Order: sequence, then C-alpha cells, then structure tokens
Amino acid sequence: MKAFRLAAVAAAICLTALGVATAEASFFVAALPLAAWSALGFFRSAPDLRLEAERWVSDSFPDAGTTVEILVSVRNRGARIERLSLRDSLPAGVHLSSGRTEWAGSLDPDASARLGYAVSVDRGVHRFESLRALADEPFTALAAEATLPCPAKIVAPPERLLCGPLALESSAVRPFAGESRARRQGGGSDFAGTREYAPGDPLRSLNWRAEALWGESIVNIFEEDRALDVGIILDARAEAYDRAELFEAAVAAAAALADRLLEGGNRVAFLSYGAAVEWTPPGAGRAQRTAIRIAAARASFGDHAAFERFDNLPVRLFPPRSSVLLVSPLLRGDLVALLSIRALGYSVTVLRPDPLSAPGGRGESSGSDAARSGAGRLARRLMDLEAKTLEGRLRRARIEVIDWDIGKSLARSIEIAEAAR
Amino acid sequence: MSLGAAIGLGALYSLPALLLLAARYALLCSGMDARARRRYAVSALVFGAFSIACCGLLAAFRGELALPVFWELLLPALAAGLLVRQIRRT
Repeated sequence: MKAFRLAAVAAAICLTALGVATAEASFFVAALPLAAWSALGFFRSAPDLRLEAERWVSDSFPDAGTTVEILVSVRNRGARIERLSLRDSLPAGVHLSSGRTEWAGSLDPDASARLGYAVSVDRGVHRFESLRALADEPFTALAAEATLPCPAKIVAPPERLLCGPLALESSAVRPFAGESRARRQGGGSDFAGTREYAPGDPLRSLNWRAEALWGESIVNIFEEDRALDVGIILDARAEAYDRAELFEAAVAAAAALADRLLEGGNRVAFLSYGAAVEWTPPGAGRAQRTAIRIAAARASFGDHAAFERFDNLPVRLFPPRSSVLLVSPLLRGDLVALLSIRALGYSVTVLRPDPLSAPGGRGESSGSDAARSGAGRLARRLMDLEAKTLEGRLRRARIEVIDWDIGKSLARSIEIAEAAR
Repeated sequence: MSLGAAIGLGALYSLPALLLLAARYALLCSGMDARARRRYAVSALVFGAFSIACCGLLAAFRGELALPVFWELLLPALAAGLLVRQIRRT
C-alpha cells in the first residue's frame, strides 16, 4: 500500500507549493496532517514476516483434463499480522475451475491461513513454485512482501483413449506368452495340429484316439501368441504438425497403444523424437506403464536442426528385429528413413493421425472461404493424393500404415486396419 | 475566533488526511478481523482528533504559526525519523 503514502506525500507537497505561491498560511495548515501521517511510517518498522507455506495436491498424477484440488496452508511463526494478503500463481496449462487463488485476512501467531481451489490441467508437467505474501500495517500503510516457497509438481499424462487389440508381428519374439501376431509352437492352449511322437514329448500330449485309428503314436501340437519387443516412436517434430491439437492426439494415441501393448504382456520402449530425443528403455508391467505415461506427459513438439528428418532416429536403441510402431503424420522426406529401418530388419507399423481429416487441418480451414473454393478443394485433393502415394510406397515395402481420423475413435481405426489385413 | 469556528476550520484543514484514512479503511476492512478493524479505527480516531485539535489551534492563530510549525517541528521530526530508520537498518 505504498500508493497511499505516496498520495499523502504528493498532496502535502502540492498544498505546501500552493501555500508558497499564494502566501496563504491555510494551505500549510492543510498540508500538516498529511505530512505528519506520512512521517509516522519513519518511526515504525514494516511487519516482520515469518511465514511457512505448505502445499497439498489431491492427485499429482492425474489424466489431462481432470480436476485436481489444491490446498495451500500458511502458518504464521511470527507476531500477529493485522492484514495479510496471499496470492498463488498458476503455472501455464493449469486452469482455475473453482475456488480462489487469493486470500486476505488477519493472522494471529501460530495460526494458519488456508487457500483452497480446484484446477483442471492440460497434458504436461506443471510445477507450482511459490506463494506471494503481502503484510500490511493498516494505519501506517507500511508493507512487507515475501515469496513463500511451496513447491509441488503435477504430471498430467494424456487423456486415456480407448484402444483395441493391435496385433503386431516380428521375426524375434520373447519366450513368454503375449498378445501379438507372432505364434510359436510349444505351450499354450490353441490346437495347431498333430505329428508323430518323438522321444521327450510329454505323455499328456499323446492323442490316444489318433493312435487307435492309425496305429502310430501321435501327439497334439499346441501354439500360442508370443510377447514381442515393441518400440513406440512418437514424432515430435514441429514441422510434422500444423496445429497443437494434432500433436496432442498423437501423444494420446502413443500412450494408449503403449498401455494396450503392455497389457498384452509385451515389452515396450518409448522414444519421443523432436526438439530432443527422450528415451524410455524397454520394460514391461505397471512400472513401465507409469514410466511411459510420464514420458508422454513430458513430450513436447519442437524443432532441432539435427532431428528435422528421421535420418538420425536412434533406432538401434530398440532390440534387433523387434517391432517398431511409429506415431506420426509423416512428411514427404520420411519414406527413405522408414525404408532404411525396415531394411535393418525391424518390423514397422505407422499410425498416422490424418492431418486432412480434422477441421482446421492442412487441407481444410473450417468455415473459411478457401476451403469451399475451387482452389481449396484442389489443394486438398493434391495433398490427399500425395498421402496415398506415400502410403502405397510404404505398403509395398511391407510397412503397415493405419490412418486415424483424430475426430473418430482410435479403437475403430485399428479395428478397420486389422480387418483389412 | 470562537471555539466552534476553530474546530470547524481544524476539521476542514484535516479533511484530506481524514479522507485518506477513511478510504484506506474502506479498502482494507474486508481483509481484516474485528480486532484489527477496531485497532485501526481507534488509531485513526486518535490521529483525527489530534489533527483537528492542532489544525484548529493553528487556525486560531490565523495560520501565523503554520509555517514555523512546518519548518521547525515537522521537518526536524522527519529528519530524526530518517536518521533512526537508517541506524536501525545498519
């Protein structure tokens, strides 16, 4: 509240100046109370702020878009504060849903002030740093300001998309059962055929009926899906995305696919390739699921001269001959890099969030005249043809492409792609 | 000059300061508890009364004492305040 003291000083000076100019003593008299009140501040000290702040967050790992309650408690470890105002600032990507981020009141020694509000969070890692406290001495207008550290972190992974089973294939499998298109004979319960008995076959696999029919010892053969090593690559190059919405959809899809593949017993690695390369090593189970969701929360798109193309993709980080799942809208120059990955023996599948499908995309500006005009339609048609050509060339190289209209269900797009195999 | 006229003039001269204090009270009262509000009100009343009395006294002397008070009392007090503050800081 320095403004009041400044106003009083300014008024006193003006009145004194008027008194000097007009040689009228009344102005000096009127200036005296204001000057005296301003001078009071010199004999008093500003309130001593000895505050401790603590922040409590109801959920530090919520999905994007969900509501999180935040409670900040400030305890006064010093003398009574006649008027204290607290103001909390929200990091970018955190939006106030209800409650207030400000508080004002008097605070006795050892008493606490509580600030409670609810926020909704966007995908990302959000850090709360500190709280601003301003103590005001009401009569003398002396004020003391402090920044109270009360850090907290909210990691918001992308919203959960429904994702159907995606059966990938690979020439290298893990020795465990899992959800994939890679079937191996051995354990399991799916009947695959019969063959002649060989020493070492378990007796419980003998087919007694076939033996009675053909007079030879015959055993049943069973097979099962095997777990795979899958590497998910999230394309985070800014050039590939014409709007943030498309990137958010890609991140959500990558996280959903990782979830689904981990549920299927596979070992999954995650790589975000954009302004930087963020690598989550292969792993399985719930811990890996959490690690990938954290990596998805941290993913952000950007540019880096070294990562403009997929030429520097560190694909060797993935186990040899494993399955690689790329989530990318694809650029024209990506074809060669993808063919190189395929040539190294990796089985490649591309999930392509279609930039032409959603409103506001490259080919369509919703509601704009350009989209409705002949030139707009022609541009859209050309881009569509270019995408189809790229897709055709990838398919010829046995790289599967799943197109996903981000306005529609991911599960449905995968189901259609699986049916078309 | 009668006592009533002196008090009236004193109140008139104190009006800017009193308005300032009233404005502060209106602004801050929602963020203070009853104890703080009472303390502020008492301080403001004491200051206001003292201010009216002093201004009334100066008005009674037709303002002749105002300038000497301003230069010879308030400015030394301000200088002393500044000095005390500086000493406290060091």
